[in-house]
Parts: sequence; C-alpha cells; structure tokens
Amino acid sequence: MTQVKAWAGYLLPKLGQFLFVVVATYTLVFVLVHFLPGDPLIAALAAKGGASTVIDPAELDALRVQYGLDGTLWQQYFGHLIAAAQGDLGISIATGVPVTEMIGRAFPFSVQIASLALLFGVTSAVLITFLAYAAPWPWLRQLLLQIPPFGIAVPAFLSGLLLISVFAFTLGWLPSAGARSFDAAILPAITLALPVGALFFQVFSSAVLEAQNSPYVFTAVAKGVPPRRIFTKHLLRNALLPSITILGLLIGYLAGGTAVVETVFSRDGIGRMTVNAVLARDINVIQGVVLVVGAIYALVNLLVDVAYGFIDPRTRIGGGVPSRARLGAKK
Amino acid sequence: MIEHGSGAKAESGAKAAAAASDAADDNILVVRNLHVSYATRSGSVAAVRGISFVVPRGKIVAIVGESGSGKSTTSQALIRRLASGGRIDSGSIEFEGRDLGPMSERELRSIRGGRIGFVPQDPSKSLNPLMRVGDQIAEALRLHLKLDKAAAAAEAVRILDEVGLPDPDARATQFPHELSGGMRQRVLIGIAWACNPQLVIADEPTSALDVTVQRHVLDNIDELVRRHNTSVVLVTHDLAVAADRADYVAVMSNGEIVEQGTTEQVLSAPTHEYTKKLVQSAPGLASRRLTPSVTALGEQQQSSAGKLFTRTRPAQPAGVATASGVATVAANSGADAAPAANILEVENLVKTFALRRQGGGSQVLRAVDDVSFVVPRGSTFSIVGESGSGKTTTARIAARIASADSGTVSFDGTDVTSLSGEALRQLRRRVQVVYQNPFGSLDPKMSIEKIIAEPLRAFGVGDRAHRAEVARELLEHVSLSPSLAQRRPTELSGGQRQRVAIARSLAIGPELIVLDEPVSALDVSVQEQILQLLVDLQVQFGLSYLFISHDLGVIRQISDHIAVMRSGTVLESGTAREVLSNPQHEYTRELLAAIPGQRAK
Repeated sequence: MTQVKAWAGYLLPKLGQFLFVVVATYTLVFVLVHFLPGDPLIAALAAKGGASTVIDPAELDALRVQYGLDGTLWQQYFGHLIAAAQGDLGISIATGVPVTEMIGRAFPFSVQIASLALLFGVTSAVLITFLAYAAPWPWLRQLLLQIPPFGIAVPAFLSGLLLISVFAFTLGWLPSAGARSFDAAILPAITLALPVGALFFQVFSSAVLEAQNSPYVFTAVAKGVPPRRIFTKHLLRNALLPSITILGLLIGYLAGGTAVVETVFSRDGIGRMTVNAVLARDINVIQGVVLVVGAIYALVNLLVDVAYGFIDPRTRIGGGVPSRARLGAKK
Repeated sequence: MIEHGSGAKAESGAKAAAAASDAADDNILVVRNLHVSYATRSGSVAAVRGISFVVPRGKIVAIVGESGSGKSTTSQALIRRLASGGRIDSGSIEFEGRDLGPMSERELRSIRGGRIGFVPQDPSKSLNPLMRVGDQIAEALRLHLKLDKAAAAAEAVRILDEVGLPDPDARATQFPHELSGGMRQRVLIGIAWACNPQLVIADEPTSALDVTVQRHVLDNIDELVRRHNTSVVLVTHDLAVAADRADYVAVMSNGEIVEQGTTEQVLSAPTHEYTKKLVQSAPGLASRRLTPSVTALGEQQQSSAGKLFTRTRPAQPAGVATASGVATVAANSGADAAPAANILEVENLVKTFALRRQGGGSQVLRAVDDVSFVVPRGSTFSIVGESGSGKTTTARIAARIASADSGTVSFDGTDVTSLSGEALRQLRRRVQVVYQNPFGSLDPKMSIEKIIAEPLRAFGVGDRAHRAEVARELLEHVSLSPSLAQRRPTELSGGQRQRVAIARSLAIGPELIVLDEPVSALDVSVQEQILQLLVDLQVQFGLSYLFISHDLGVIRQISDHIAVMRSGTVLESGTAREVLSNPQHEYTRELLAAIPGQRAK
C-alpha cells in the first residue's frame, strides 16, 4: 500500500508535466499558425490550385466547416483540443484524408528507421567508448575519441548520398529507396545513426572517462577485477545514468532527422509527410504531426525519469530492501 | 626495518640495518630506492624520490606525512596503480621475494585483491553506488577464491559480520548510500581482507570519519591483523594514529623518507627536524592550551600598528578597558577570569528541519534542541561534536546567519534574535565568521587586497587608498607578506588562504569571531600555526571567539570554555579544565578516549 502511494507521489507530478508539455506544444503551434498573416485556408487552397484560384465565398465557408476552421479562435482552439484528445486530428486540406489515418500509415516507417538508428548509434557509441577505454596506447585512445564528432559535422543529405552511391549503386548490396522491405531501412537508419550516435557518444564517453578516475574504479582495480569486467560491471551503468538523460533530447533530434533522411531516400514516413504538409500549407497535418511528436517526446522523457528510478538505487522508490535494515542504518 | 638505498639517508639507515638483520628473512614487502614521477604539462614532477623501507610479516608499518609528501603516491605504487600520468621511474617493489615492477598486468591482477588488499581513503566514493555491498565483497571472492555465486554471497555476509556490521544479512543487500560512512569503510575493509591477503595497504583509512568511529574502525583493523597475521602499510597524515597503531613509522616529506624506525624510537627521540616539528604540532600528542606569544598592544603599538583599526572600529565606550581585561583572561587560561560582561548569550535555541522521507510524509529533525550557553568577553568558547551534532547550525544561529525557530541570541547585552535589514547588517561589523574551507570561502577572481578590504568597502569605511593600507597592515598581522596583496587566492597554500580569511574577518574590527572548523582542512603543522595566530590576535585585538570543531585535540589547544554537543543537545559544558580533566558525561569520556595518540603518552 505504501509502495503504491510512493509511486503515485513520484509519478503524478511527472504525469502533470507530461500533460503540460503536450498542451503547451499544441497551444504554441495553434498560435503560430493562426497569427501568421493571411488566412490559413486560403493559403492552403492557393498552394493546391495555383495563385489564380478563384473561390466562391459560400464554397469557402463550406470548406471551413469541413476542415474545422470555422468559428471564433477560441472555439477552434478548444474544439481541436477536445477532438485531439479523442484521437481526431481533423482532415488534411491537401489530400482530404483524416490526419490521424495519415499519421497512422506513415508512423511505422519512421519508427522503424528511428529505432534502428538509435540502436546502431548507441551500440557503436558504447563500442567505441569501450575500445577507447581499453586502448593500450594514449594516441589510439585519442584517435578513437576524435572519430564520432564527424558524425555531427557531416550533414545527413551528404552522408546519405555517399551511402547510396557506395552501397546501393556501386556495390548493389542494399536498395537506395522505398520502404517496402526491411533492408531498405538500413541505409537511412545508418545515415540517421551518425549524428544521433555521435551526440550520445559525447555524453557517454566523457561520463565513462570521468568515472574511470573515480575512487570506486580504483577499488575495483585494487580488487584485481579485469578491465572488461570493470567496464561492464562498474563503469557502464554508472556512465549510463547521465547518458540516459540525453536520450530524451535525441528523440527530438530523430524527429527532425527523419525529415531529411526520408526525403533523401524517398521513403514514406512522418518526416517526409511533414515536409510535404509545410509545402502545401496543410495546417491540419502540421498541427497533428507536431502534437504527436511532442507527445512522444514528452512520453520518452517520462520513461527516462521512471527508468532512472530503476537504474539508480539512490532514487529508487520504495525499493526491495527490508525496511528494518533501513531504519537500522540511521543509528 | 630499513633496506637503505641511497647514501643520503645513512643516519637512519645505519640504525635500521640492525633491526633489519634479525627480521631480514621475514619481510613480506621490500621497497628499494623507489622513484615515482608524474607527467604534467610543464614536464615531469618527482613525487617519490628514492624511498626504501621494508614491511616485516605480521607488523604494521605507518607512513606518515602531510599533503604533498608523496605518501599516497607510495601506497598506489605498491600495487602499481598510479593516477594517470604517474610512472615508476626506478627502484624495486619486492612482494614475497618477487619484484612487482616487471610483472604483467595479468599477474598483477591475481595479486591485487588476492594477496595484497587495499583500503582506500574516501568511503563515500570508493564503493560502486549502483552495486549491493554484499556483491562488491563477493566479486573479490569469486575472482580470487573461485567461489560460486551462492558460496561467495554467504562468505560476504560472514565477512560483513567479521568487520562488525550489525545485521549483516540485511546489510549485504543494501546499497552504499544506505550505510553510514563508518559502515562503508568497514565494507571496504571487508573487501581488502576478503581473500585473506598477506599484506593490506590502508591509505588514510579513517581520515574522513568521526573520531569515535575512527577509533572503532582502527580497532577493527587491529583485530583483523591479529587474527589473520596480516602485514599492514598504514598511510596517514596523523602521527597520533600511527603512534597508536603501528609497530614501525616512516616519516615522509617531499617525496623522501626523512626518518624511520620503530614507533617508539621515532616518537620519543625524533632525530630529523621535520619529525620533531611534526611530533610537536600533532594535536593529539601535544595537547596544552596555547599561550599568546605577544602581549596586548601597548599604547605605543596601538598608536602605530593599531591606529587604522581604532578608526574603523565603531565607537566603543569600554574599548581600552576591554583590551586590558582580555590580557588577564588569557593569562589565566580562563579559569578564574575576572568577571567580564558576556559578549554573547544564547538561550534555549531550537532549530528544526523537515526531512522529506522516501515515499512522502516528512520527519522533523531537531538539529538544535534547547541549547543555551554564554561566551564571556575576551575568551574562547568552543563547541565540540561529531558530524550531525548540530554544532555548526548552532554557530550559524549565534552569528545570526541562520535564524532559530525559538530561543534568544543576545549580543553585548542586547537581544539580536529578530534583527533584520540594516540593523542586522550593522551587527556584522561586530560579529564576523571564518569558515572551514579556505578554498571555497575566497573569491578566486579577487586579489587578496580586495578580499581583505571588502568588508570595509561594504560599510563604506575610508577611501580606496586607506582600505589598501589597512589590507596590507592586516596581512602583516596574520604573518603574511604584504607583497601578496595583489595575488589571487589560487596562488596561495591552504594555510595562507585561511590567514587571508582571518584577516578579512578582522578588517571591520569585530568583537566576536565565529570560527567554524577553521583548521580542519589544513595539515597538522599548519593547524598549529593558525591556532597560535588566533591566540595571538585574540590578545592583540581583544577578540572573543566562538570556536567550532570536531577535534578535541584542537579544542584543547585554544578553549577557555567547552560545550560538548551531540544530536542537537549540549551534553556537558564548563571550563576547559573541568570538561577535559573531569568529564561528567559518558560521551565526553568516549570522545576523549577516542583521541588518537593515547599510547604515546
């Protein structure tokens, strides 16, 4: 019972934060879209049919109702918010398809490359860090530590094109475009993994190298623990603590990164959909995508907070330790 | 005890050669002419310069030295694990007849933890925070004794019991943050002794612990040494600890062993100048009230040296009378002080903190619980207690830095408990504070002159030239060269910084100075100098001190009255002589007994 109360006391504020972030994101986008000069619907129709499109005012009003852009701003603001909470994000102006359906269709493709990219990026960051840690010579360590920053320095459209020309056109190992098969996801995922892995590496490797000089590692060395075990048992988890925090930030980076990568590899996905929606001034889609990505971002950060509790016993809630022992520790 | 390497140490070497010959066959560790250096940006710096010593089987050898003496480097070199940039340049470390120098890392690993245990310095950081303490002990057992998981876990519990942790079954499943500092150090001792090593290196094993805990932990080490016939290299800054625990002592200074021999030889008849100085200044060993080396400023000096302060000082009706009163008080060591007005009176102070407990709810901690005391003018009133006793909180309330929940603080006869705003700021003219950490309490971006003159600037005293003049004069009063005035704090040593902090507290001409552990961050020889300075300044400027310390040895050197605190309450108080020679409370007796250096007397 006290356990439940403890968890509730820990989670409720975090849930409140989560909701706040989502609503704030929605509000910000709503304000931006509606306070930009010009009528959003007319702009969208103009983008669809060319600048000389002529629309009958009665028809325009009908369209407004259809796309949920009628009524006062307040009515729209709360109307959309309530609809969104029920899973209805309106109808795309450009295609006439419900936004929820569009996102639902594109989402799995983006999740595929994003999670693959995260996996590639984090694994190689941990691997390179371990190699640098175990490097017998200082120059080798320095060299290894200098490699990942390239991942950030090279823009995705360049690394993507390089990968395509080498692995798709020259070697013919992997497809250059499309989203039909699993191997089509590998090149885009690698492209996306470069900056993401590099960002993760920056935090993780410095945490490892800092922890390496810590007294508890000295204790482990004095115990006779071999280097690989020191890395896995003593360094890895301690260094993951600060690194997990930036996982949340990386999700934000991934969302932006998919836009470029999906365009380069002409894949379906959230990113490409967003690019198209912006070009078509399709405000319903833009709003929907931002809201969904914002919610995922907030959700991941919520999970990171909870994960902290599991990884770090110092922040653990309730815990599996007999309370008798804990009371005893006070004396 | 000595295998002497270089001819330079012939005097100590000759004496020790005889001792070495009878135990020559049974030395577990023989260090010959060891040189260690660190690579830094400005080239290589020698940390250990040709030391030689031996550790006989089953004996405790203490390596004593102050910070920077190379003692910790030595301890790390003994298991060939130096901090980054460190390198053994030459010399040999023979453990059971084999030189560790040319050994492969793999061979070394079987020795580290298996046959040489290591007790590190800082229990709060030396355990992996994410691993249960039982597992941390079991790790060594599984590596060296090849025990399986269940057997290692059971053995770990037995070890926890052996090092004196109550309820070892439950403890084994706990994480380091759930244990107190003393318990964590016991766990580390358990790790060091887990595989029944022949040699244990203990690097300042108790320096981070309270004095009563220190004693129990050292007793625990003694017992393990006896039971397992382990040899120990005990690295410590505290000569008194070495005196109590070691069979042999080697004194290090500047990377060299300046003197070594049996504990008795070194302590009772030190031959080297440095050892003599160390023996003299160790608070646990030489405990007496320091007497002022100067007299109160006479008319003549007052008009020259003290003239600047008479201007800065707020008009004080009994100024001169106080100064002479001080001299009497100090001369009589506060025993039968002439009835002087109390500069500070504290009554029934209570301060509580709400502790947020895990899982909601809160617990109230009574940090200060009904504390009353008076500080007679011109004397030193000391509060002694261990961590968590409430002594610092009490001092902060007395200085009106923190506020109390209830109770009154009277300064010079007026109630200052609820002063605020400008009135409180004006009180700062008369009450100043010197903090424990001379590294944190001085702004690294300011020059020494600016730091000292800052209180004057804050109160708008004098013009810039005048303030600079006062700062320079104060530097002289705290025995620093006025040429330091334009330096930054980072260029100064710890002792020098603390002198600057003291000079700053004097600048505005206060009557009461609250000294919160002013010497505990300093080396012992520096400690004594600072304490002497405080005693001298007290007479010169007619100051009253409220002195906070955990160290009864230090307290003994400076106090006129003592209050012993524990868990927020004053257990006992009285004149220094009463409390120290005839303690009424059990806890005071325990504190006194815990002062290291008893055996030396």
